[in-house]
Amino acid sequence: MGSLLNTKTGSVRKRIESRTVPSRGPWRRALAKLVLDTFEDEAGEEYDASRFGGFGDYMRRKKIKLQNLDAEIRSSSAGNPPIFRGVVAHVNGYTQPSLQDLHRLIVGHGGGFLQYLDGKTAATHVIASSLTPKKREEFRRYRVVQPAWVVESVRAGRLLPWDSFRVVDEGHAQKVLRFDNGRVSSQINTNPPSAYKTQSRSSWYASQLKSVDIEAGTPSTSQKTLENHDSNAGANLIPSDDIQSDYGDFPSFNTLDATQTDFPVIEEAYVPKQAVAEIEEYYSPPRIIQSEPIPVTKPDSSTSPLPLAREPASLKTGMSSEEYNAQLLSDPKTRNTSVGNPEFLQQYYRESRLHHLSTWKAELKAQLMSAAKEKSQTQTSRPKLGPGVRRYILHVDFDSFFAAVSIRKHPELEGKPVAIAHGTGSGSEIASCNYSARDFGLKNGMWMKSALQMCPGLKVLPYDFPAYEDASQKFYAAVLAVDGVVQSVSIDEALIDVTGQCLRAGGSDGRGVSEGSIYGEEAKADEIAECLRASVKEKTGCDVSVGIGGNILLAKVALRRAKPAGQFQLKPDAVLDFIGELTVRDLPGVGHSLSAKLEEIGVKFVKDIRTLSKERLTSSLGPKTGAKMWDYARGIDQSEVGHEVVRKSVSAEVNWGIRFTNQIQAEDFVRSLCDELHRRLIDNLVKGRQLTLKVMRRAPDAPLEPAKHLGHGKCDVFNKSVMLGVATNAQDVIGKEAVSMLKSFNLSSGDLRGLGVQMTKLEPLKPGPMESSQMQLQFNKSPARKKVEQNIDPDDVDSPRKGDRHGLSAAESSRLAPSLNDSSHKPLNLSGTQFIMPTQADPEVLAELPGDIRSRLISQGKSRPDAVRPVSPTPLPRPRRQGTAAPAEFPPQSQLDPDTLAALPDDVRAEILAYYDPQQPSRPMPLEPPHAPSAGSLRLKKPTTPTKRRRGRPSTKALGNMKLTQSNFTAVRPRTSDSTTAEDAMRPQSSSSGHEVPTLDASEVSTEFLAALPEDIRQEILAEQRRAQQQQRIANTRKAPAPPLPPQRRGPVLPPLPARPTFTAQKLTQLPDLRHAVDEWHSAFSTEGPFAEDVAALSKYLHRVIVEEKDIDKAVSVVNWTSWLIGRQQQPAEITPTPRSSNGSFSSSLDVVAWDRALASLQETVVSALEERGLPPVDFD
Amino acid sequence: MTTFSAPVTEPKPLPSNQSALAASFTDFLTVSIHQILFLRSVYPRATFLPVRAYNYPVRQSRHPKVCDYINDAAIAVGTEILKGTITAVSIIISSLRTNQPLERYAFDLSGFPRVPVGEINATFEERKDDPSSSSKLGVNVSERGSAPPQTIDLEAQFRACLARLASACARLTPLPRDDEFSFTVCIEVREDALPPAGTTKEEQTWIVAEPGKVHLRSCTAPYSVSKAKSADDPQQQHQHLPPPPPKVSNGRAKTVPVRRVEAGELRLELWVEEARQKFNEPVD
Repeated sequence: MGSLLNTKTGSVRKRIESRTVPSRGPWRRALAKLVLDTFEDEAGEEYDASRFGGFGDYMRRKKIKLQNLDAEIRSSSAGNPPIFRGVVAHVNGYTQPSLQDLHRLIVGHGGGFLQYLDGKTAATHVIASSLTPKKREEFRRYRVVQPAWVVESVRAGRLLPWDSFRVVDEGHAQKVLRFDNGRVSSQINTNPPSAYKTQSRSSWYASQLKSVDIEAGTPSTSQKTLENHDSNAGANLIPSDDIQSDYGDFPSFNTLDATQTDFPVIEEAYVPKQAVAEIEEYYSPPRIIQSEPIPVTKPDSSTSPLPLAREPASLKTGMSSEEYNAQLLSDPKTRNTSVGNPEFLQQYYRESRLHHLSTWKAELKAQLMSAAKEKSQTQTSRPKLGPGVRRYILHVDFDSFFAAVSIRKHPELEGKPVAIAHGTGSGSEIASCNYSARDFGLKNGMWMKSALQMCPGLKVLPYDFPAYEDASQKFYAAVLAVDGVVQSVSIDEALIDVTGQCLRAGGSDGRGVSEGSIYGEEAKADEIAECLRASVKEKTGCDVSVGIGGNILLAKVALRRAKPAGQFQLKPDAVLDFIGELTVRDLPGVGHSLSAKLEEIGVKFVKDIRTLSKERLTSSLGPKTGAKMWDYARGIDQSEVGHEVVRKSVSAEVNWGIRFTNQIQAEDFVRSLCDELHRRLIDNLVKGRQLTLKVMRRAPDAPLEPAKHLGHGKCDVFNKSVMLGVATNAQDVIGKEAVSMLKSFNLSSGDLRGLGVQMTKLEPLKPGPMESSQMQLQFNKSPARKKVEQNIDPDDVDSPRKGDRHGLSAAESSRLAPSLNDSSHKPLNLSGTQFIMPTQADPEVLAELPGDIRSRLISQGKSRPDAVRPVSPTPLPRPRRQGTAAPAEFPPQSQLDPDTLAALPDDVRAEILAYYDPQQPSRPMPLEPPHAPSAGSLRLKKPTTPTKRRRGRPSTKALGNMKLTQSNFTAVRPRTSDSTTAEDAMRPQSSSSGHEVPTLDASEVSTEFLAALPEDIRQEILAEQRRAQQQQRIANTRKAPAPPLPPQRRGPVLPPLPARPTFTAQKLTQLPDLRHAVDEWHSAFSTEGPFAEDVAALSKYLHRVIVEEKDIDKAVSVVNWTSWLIGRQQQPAEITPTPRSSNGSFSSSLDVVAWDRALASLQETVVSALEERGLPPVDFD
Repeated sequence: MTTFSAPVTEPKPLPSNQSALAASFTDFLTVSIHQILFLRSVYPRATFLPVRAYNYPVRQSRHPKVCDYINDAAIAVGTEILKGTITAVSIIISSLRTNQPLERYAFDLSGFPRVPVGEINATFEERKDDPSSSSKLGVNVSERGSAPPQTIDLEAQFRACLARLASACARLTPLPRDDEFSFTVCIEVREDALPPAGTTKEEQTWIVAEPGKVHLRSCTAPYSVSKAKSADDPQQQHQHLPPPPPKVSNGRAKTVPVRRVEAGELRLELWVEEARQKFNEPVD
C-alpha cells in the first residue's frame, strides 16, 4: 500500500481502534454511561461545555462523539468477524445500502468510519456509487469502492479485494493485467458500465421486483446467482494465506466455517431488511448482475392481482397511463394484439392494410419497370417530344377498387351499398365503398359506427387481397398494352402518356394550331380511353374511369368529372374555366392543412389563387408549394409521366396497438422497429444519413382509450432527427440512436401511441460487401520493429552496426532497402483528401479537373516540395551523437537510381552526390536514405508520415525530408563587419542592393498537417522551421527577373518581391533604424549643417518609400522625426543661450538655416512623391 | 465578437493561399468600414454597438441594411481579390447635400499577389529570391538580419491599423455639421483588367463610378468602379465613369497616412484623403 495513501490513516486508525478496546480510558466508561443515560455525567473532555471562542473544538468534539458511538456499535457486535479491521471508510454521496447501513456494517465488522473527511488520506476507502467528474479526478489516486464491496465482504466473511469494486477506473490508456486461470494477460481497460445503471439494476426496487418473480414461481435469476455464488464459495475454500487482502499486516480472518454459520445471524441481527435485500442482490459479483436480463414486470394474467377490467368506465380516475396500460394488457386477447405480444410487429405488418398496399405497390413498380424495359427493348425509341408540344395524358382509375372487386364474387350485392372493412365492429374503418354506398353519404376512411348509422343496410365485406392483386395485374396488363409511357400511381390507378399516338393520329408535330389536327388528336385520345375502359372491363369485370388532359394535373382533375365509369377529356380551351371552378381541395396534392392555409389568405376556389401574386403565395406557403399552386391555378404542371420519383426516405412506423407499461418495453419496441427499418433499407438497397424518430403521444386531453380499439386517438406528434456521420443501415446503430432519441423525449411510456423511425438522406447501397461507405484507415502493425530479419528497418540501414555497406552486393543492398510494396510502409494520406496526386500527373487531366480539386491537388503535390526527390516513407533516423562517416548513413551510391538522379534539379543532385564525396567527412544534418523508386512504376507517391515517433521523444527532425531543398539556400555567406561611421552611413548606396525579407514560410509545412499534430510537436516543428528560415534568408535584388518556373512546380509561384528600398549601406528599412540613422546624422552635423548629397540621398530614399514601398506613413514619420530633431536643436539655442562665442552662435544659426532648408527639401520630396501617386499632400507636424 | 475573455492564443498562421488572403482582408475591410462610419459619424453614433475585433474595441453598426451593404461590399471585394484584378479599395464619404466626396479611406492592395483563378486554394510558393543575385550579393547581412525573425501576428497588424485609423481620424478636419453623409465602397482595378461591371442587373455588383463623385484626386488606375449606396436609399445607384479624370489642382486636399501592413503576402497600405470640397473650396 502506498505510503501516500496511508499518511493519515495510520493515526486515524489508531485513534479509532483505541476506542474499540473496552478497558481503556475514561471515555469508555463515559460511553457506557452514555448508553445508559445520555444526559448524565459525560466524563470525557468532549462532553464538556464549549468555551467561549472554542468553535474550533466543536467539530473535533463532534467527531470524537461520533467515534464514541461507533465504539458502542463495535462493542455490541463483538460476534462479528472484524473483517474491516484496518479499514477507515468514508461514504460519499448516495449509496444503495444507505449511509447508515454501511456505517453499521463497517463499524460492526471492526472497521472505522469517518463521517467527515478531513483529508483524503484520513480514510483508507471512500465508498461511493459514482463520483462527479471533479471528484473522480480528485479521488483518482485513492481507493474509491462501490458499496457492494462492503456488502459482499460481509457476505463473504472476509475482506474482498477492493480492486474489483473500484469506481474510478484507471482510464482507458492503462492496460490492466488480468489473471485468469493462472495466465497473465494484459488487456485494455474496459470501461465498466455506468454506476448509476449498476445501482438501479440492483436497487431495492429491482430486488423487490425480483422477489415478486420468485414468489410467482418463475425461475429467478437471483436464485441462479445465489447458486452460482454457492459454488463460488466452495471454490473459495482456500488457505488463509492466499486470501487476497490489501492489508497484509492485518491478519485476515479465515474462519470460513464460522462465517458461514455466523452469517445469517449477522444479517438478522444487524442488517436492516432493506440491506438484506441488498445483500441478496450483491450476493453475486456485480458483473454478473449487469449481465442479467433486465427484470421486467409483466404481470401474468394468472397471478395478476389487478382485476381484468376492460371497461374504461370502471377505471379509477387517478390512474397513470402505465397502470392503465398494464391493466389493459392484462386481458390476454388485448395483449396479443398490442405491443405486449413479442410477435406484435410481425403480426402488425402482416395484417396492416396500408402496409400491404405499400409493399404491393413497390412490387408493382418493380414489375412495371421491368415491363417498360422489355417494351423499350422491343419498341423503337419513341420520338423525342420537344417543349411546347401538346400532350395527351390519361389518368386511369378503378371505381371503388376494393368494393368493385369484392362485389364480383357476390353478384347478389350488385347495386347495393357495399363497404370493405376489417369487420362490422364499430371500431373498424371503411377502406372502400361502392358508389351506391356513397350515395348514402359514406366515404372511404369513415368509422363503421357512423357509416352504419347513415346506411343501416350496408353490406360489409372483408378484404380479399388475392382478388385485388389479380385484378390489379389484369388492369396493368391492359394499361401496358396501350402504346404510351405508363406510370403507376397505385395498384388501381395509372397515368399513361399517349401523346405520341395522338399526334400521329392528328398528323401534326403538336406545335402548330390547325383545327383539323387538334380535333383528330383529341378524338384519338378519346378512342384510346374508350378502348382501355372496354378492355379493363372485359378483363376484370370492373369499371374504370379515364380522365384526359394536357398534363398530369389536368388528367387528374378530369378524372373527377369522369367518375364513375366514364371518361372526360379536359380540352385546352376549357382548362381555365374548369379548374377555376374547382375548390382548392380538388387539386391533387392539396390536403386539409394546405387548404386551411389557403383559406387563411382568402382562397377557396382555384380561381381565387389566380388573383394572388406568386410572391404572396410563396410567402405564405413556402417557395415550392407556392409556385406549384400558382402553376396549378393556371393549369400548368411540369411533371412528366413516367418520371419516377426517387425515394427520399424509408420508414417504419406503427401507431396502432402501442401500449407500453414501462420504458423498457418501449425501447425494445423501438429497437425492433429499427430492425424492420433495417430490413426495408436493405430491400430498397439504400442506406441513410439522417434518422428521424417520430413519436405520437396521447394528447393531454385525450382519453386513455381512444375510439378505435388500440388506436392512437388524438395525439401530439414529436419528431427528432439525428445526423449520422456516415450513411448506414446497420440495425444496431439505428437502434441505439433511436432509443437514445426516445429517451431524450422523456415521455411517459404509457402515453406513447405511435412510434416511427424514418431514414432520410438516402444513398444508394453499393453492390458488394455491405459495409460502411467510409474508407477506413488500416492501421497496420508498426513496421519492422519486430521483424528486423525479414524487413530491414531503414533505421538499421544506416546504423553503424551494419558496418561497411560498400561491401554488400547490389542484390543484397536492394533486399535490405525498405520495400515500397510493403504495406507496412504505406504512408498515411495526410492532406485530407482522398485524391492523391500522382507524381507525374498528366497536365491535361489536371486541367480538366474542377478548380478546387485542382488547387487541392496542387497544394498536395506541393507538400512534397520536390516530387522526384528521393523520399523514404519510413521514419527518420534519430540524429546520432557521434559523427559517423557519411557512407554509413546512406545507401551505397550504386543503389541510387541514375534516372532519378538525372531528374533532380542540378543543385539537389549535386548535394546528394556531395554526400558520397569522401572528401566531405561531415555534413550538417543526418539525411534519410534517399530511396530509389523503381523507374517507370506507377506507384502513387503519397505524402509521407514523418511523425512516426521513435523511442518516446518526438523527433524534432520530423520534417527533415525537406532539408535537402532547404540546405540549398543555407549557403553560408561571408559576413562583413559594418564598421561604418555615420559619415559612411550617409553615403548614398546607388548599387542595387538587397535586404532582408523575413517571410514566414507557411508553404513548407502544410497547415493542415501542422494542425493535426500534437501541440508540443508542432511547436518543435515550427521552431525548427524558423531556424531553417533564419538560415535561409537571403538578400534580394531589385531587378531580379522572375526565374523560369521549374516544370514540377505546381502552386502559384509568386514573382520575387521588388526589393524594398533601403537607406544607406546598412540597408535600413525599419522605422526605428531609420530614426536612429537620422539621429546620428543630425547629431554629427548639427553644428555645420547637412551635406547636400546626404539630403539628396535621404530624399531619394523617401521618394522610393512612398512610390515603391508604398508606405507613406514611414516617409512622413522620418520627415517628422527630422523636423523634431531640428526643432529640439533650435530650442535650447533660443531659450537658454549657451555661453558660446558669437562666432559659434552664428555658425549655429547658419546650420539651423541649413537644416531647415534640408527639412523643407525632404518635405517637398514627400509631397511630390505623393503627387506622383496621385495623392494630395500631407500635413507635417 | 463580444467575448468575455481574451485568451492569449497563438498568432494565427498568415494566410497561405489566395482565398485565405482574401478572407482575411475582407474581414478587416468589414471591420474598418464599420469603424470608419462610426469614427466619422456618418450615421448616428448611437446606432453603433461596441464590439471587439482583433481584440481591439471597435464599433459595429446595428442597422441591418448598413450591415448587409457592408457585408455585400466585402464579399464583392473578396471576389475581385480572387480574380486578382484589384489594386485598391476605398471608402468614400460624401456629402448628401452636394453629393461631393469629402473623405476617402484608401486601402492600397497593389501588393497582393496575383494568382490564377484555378489556384486560389493552393498554398503560395515561397517567394524565391533570385539565387544569382543572392550569391552576388553575399555582403552585408547585417547583424539585425541574423536576429530571430519576428513572427508576424496578422491580428496585431490589423489591430495596429485600427488604432492608427482612429488617431488619424481624430486628426482630420471634422465633417461639416449641417450636412448628412453617405458612403460608397469603390475599387480600382488593374489597367489590364476588365472592369467588373456586369451587363445584366444580377451580375451588376459593381458599377462604373462617376469621377466627380469618387475622386478626390486622380487614382493610379484608370478605371474606378464603385459600389454605390446612399444612406437613405438602399437601392444601388448606377453611375458611369469614363477613363482617367483630368488632373486637378490639389487645393487644400490633404493626405493623412495611416499604416502599412506587411504580413506575409498580405501587403496593404491604408491612408485617408480629405477632399478640397470639405474645405468649401470651389471645384474646378
